[in-house]
Amino acid sequence: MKERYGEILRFGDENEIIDAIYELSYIDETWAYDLIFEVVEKNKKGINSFVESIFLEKPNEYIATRLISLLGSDKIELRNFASKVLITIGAQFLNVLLDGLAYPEYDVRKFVVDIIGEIGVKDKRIKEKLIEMLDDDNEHVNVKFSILEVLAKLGDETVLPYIKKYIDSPDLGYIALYALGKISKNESKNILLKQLESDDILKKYAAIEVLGSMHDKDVRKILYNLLDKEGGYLNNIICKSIAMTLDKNETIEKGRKYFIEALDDDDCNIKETILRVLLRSPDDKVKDRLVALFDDHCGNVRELVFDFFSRKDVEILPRLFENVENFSNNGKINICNLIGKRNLLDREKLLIKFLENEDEEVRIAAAENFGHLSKVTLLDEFRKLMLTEDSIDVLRSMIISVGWHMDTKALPILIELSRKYENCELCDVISGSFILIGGSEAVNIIEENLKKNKDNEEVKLFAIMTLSRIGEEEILDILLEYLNDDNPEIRENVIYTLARIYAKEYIDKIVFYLSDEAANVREAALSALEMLNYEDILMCIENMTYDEENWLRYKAFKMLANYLPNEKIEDFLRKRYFEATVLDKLAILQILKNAQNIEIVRNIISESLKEKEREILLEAFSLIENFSLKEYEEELQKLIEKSGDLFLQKKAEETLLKLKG
Amino acid sequence: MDIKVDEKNGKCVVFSLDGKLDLNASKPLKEMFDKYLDDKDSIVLDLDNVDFANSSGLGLLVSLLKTAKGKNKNLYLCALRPYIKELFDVTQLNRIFDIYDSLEDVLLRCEE
Repeated sequence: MKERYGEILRFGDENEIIDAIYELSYIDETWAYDLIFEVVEKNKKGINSFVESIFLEKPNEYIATRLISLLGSDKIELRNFASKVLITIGAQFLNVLLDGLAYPEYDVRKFVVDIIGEIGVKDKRIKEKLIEMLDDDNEHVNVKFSILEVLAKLGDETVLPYIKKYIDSPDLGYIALYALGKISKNESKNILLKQLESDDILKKYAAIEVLGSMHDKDVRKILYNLLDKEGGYLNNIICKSIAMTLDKNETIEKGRKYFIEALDDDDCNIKETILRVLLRSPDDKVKDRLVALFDDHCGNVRELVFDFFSRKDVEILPRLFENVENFSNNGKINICNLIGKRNLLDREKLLIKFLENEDEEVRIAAAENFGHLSKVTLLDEFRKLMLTEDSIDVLRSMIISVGWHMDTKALPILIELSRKYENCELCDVISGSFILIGGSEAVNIIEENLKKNKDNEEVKLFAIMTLSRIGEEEILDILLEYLNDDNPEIRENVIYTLARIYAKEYIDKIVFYLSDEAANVREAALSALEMLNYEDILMCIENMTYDEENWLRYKAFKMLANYLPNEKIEDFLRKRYFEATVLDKLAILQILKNAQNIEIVRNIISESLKEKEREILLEAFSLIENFSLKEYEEELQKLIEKSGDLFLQKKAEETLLKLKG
Repeated sequence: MDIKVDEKNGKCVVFSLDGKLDLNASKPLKEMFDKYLDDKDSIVLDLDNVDFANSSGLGLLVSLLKTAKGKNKNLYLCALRPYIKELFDVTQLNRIFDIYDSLEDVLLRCEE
């Protein structure tokens, strides 16, 4: 059995491998997990994400131990995989984590420390081990770095003395200060405040930053006082720290000029934090700065300013537009988005101007936001630019925009564009705009185009799909002409459209297509009849369970499920089971969960337990569980004893256990 | 088209639509929309019971959106059925409308 699985895992396709992994996890033996880990190490994304779900669902100590080894892999994806799973399951296997802390490779130990921090393990043994490692002169500095962070993260005051020991360390001093910030205790606050007197600028910087992160109002006063004293670069971090101590709606009390100056800092984090606070009470000086910051590239600054301009009534909005020419392309895109979002109708002209910008992204933003305006007056200019635009991506946005404006005059241009580009590259958006513009004009143009391109399958399909979605009654006559089209996709679309617009008068015609030569058309006919509430629909579905196509028979069975419980259908299923293929039997067993007649269910289960096909047996087990049929206990026991299939045995055992409660 | 009106709070009103979103829906929906638009910040169209829309229906939604935008009001849509979702994808209307999965989700937005 091991060899058989090994072969599937080596030579099977992705689906076969996933099935094998699922079964191996059920077998639940060391060799089975070793095989799974062999696959994991091949580092295939889809398969590993399946393995991840299996490990999360049924973790055990062996899996956890193997994952610890995987943390030493030279592939980052595998390390991340192991780390992610261990973070979720690790708390159940503390002994394994403890062993991991003694791993020979320091980078594995560091990973385990980080995982412990992520989990937030507060176990005494782990804490003691971490402190022991911290005190070990031979321990790698990177591991100690992580330990300090983790000890602080645990928020346990008893670790304070151990962190304190490292404050004067040249390597770990500043991380020790950061660690202190996570332990909200007066003592750590006092240590940090003492560092404000330090000559070591790095430590002073760290102390100011950490004090800010403590969100302490008393600290805020001290920081405010420090503002006038320090000056220069430290002022910016002081401002950031003050900002961090403020509650959601609190504003700055004093030193405003320092905060505004700090907006020039190169550190995006400082800039953003301070900006957020200043935007709560923007005075004229701040507003002046906002115009420049609208085009700032640092972190999320531009987004913050955009959000401000897009939500508030700002009187400086005109000044923003005065500077537009000097903006970067990204700034111009932002301006377009602002016009669209705020529905600034008086800026329509600027969008038209940007449509002539040399940067494609700016033109796309201009085109799209032109569509967002609730009322436009420059559609003629817009259309003219459509004729000269040569970028497909810009045209795409322009086509969408004329659709949103339901611009009838754009229809001929849209048809022209559909012809111009090979492979109908713009057909999807053109179709969308035709649907929105709708009306007789759109329908006539499409019909005309259809006539001109009778032999062009692509144009025909595009036209029929568009007409179908336009969905007005006037399209019916055109569509009906194509009900007999040679292209099955077209027949399918026409049939679905008849159903959607509830054209009950065409039921007879649709019934005819239940025996179409193309399976997709037969499927469409069946679904359409159901949508039209055809009175003989059940008979049609039952007949379709005899279709030559496997998938269509399967779908028909699934459709029957919606009508269960139903005595007649259940009787039909009983008879049908005896002349069914394996796939049909599977479908029948699956839908029987909704059946009512327990005798029929028993009858089918008894029959299916005689089968050799594993999938059928599994479905039968599931039905036995579903109906709690205790009378099958003996038969399941026999199957467990006789079957050479380990996976099946485990599944039968599971069912038996559930039956016994 | 049946329209059930539910005034959730002072700022928001929900229209639960039932039926086909086509030309026949235009008059009742527009009338209802105009009636509430001035007094409310937001109008929600719950489309959970709408499984068909055609060109006229989509055009109607676009014109309601423009009216709302012109008056600085919000129009939200929620609970789109698969076919309606497909139409919104094809026409890219999903990029101009604020669409929510469920009525509960959109009401949270309304309360903000």
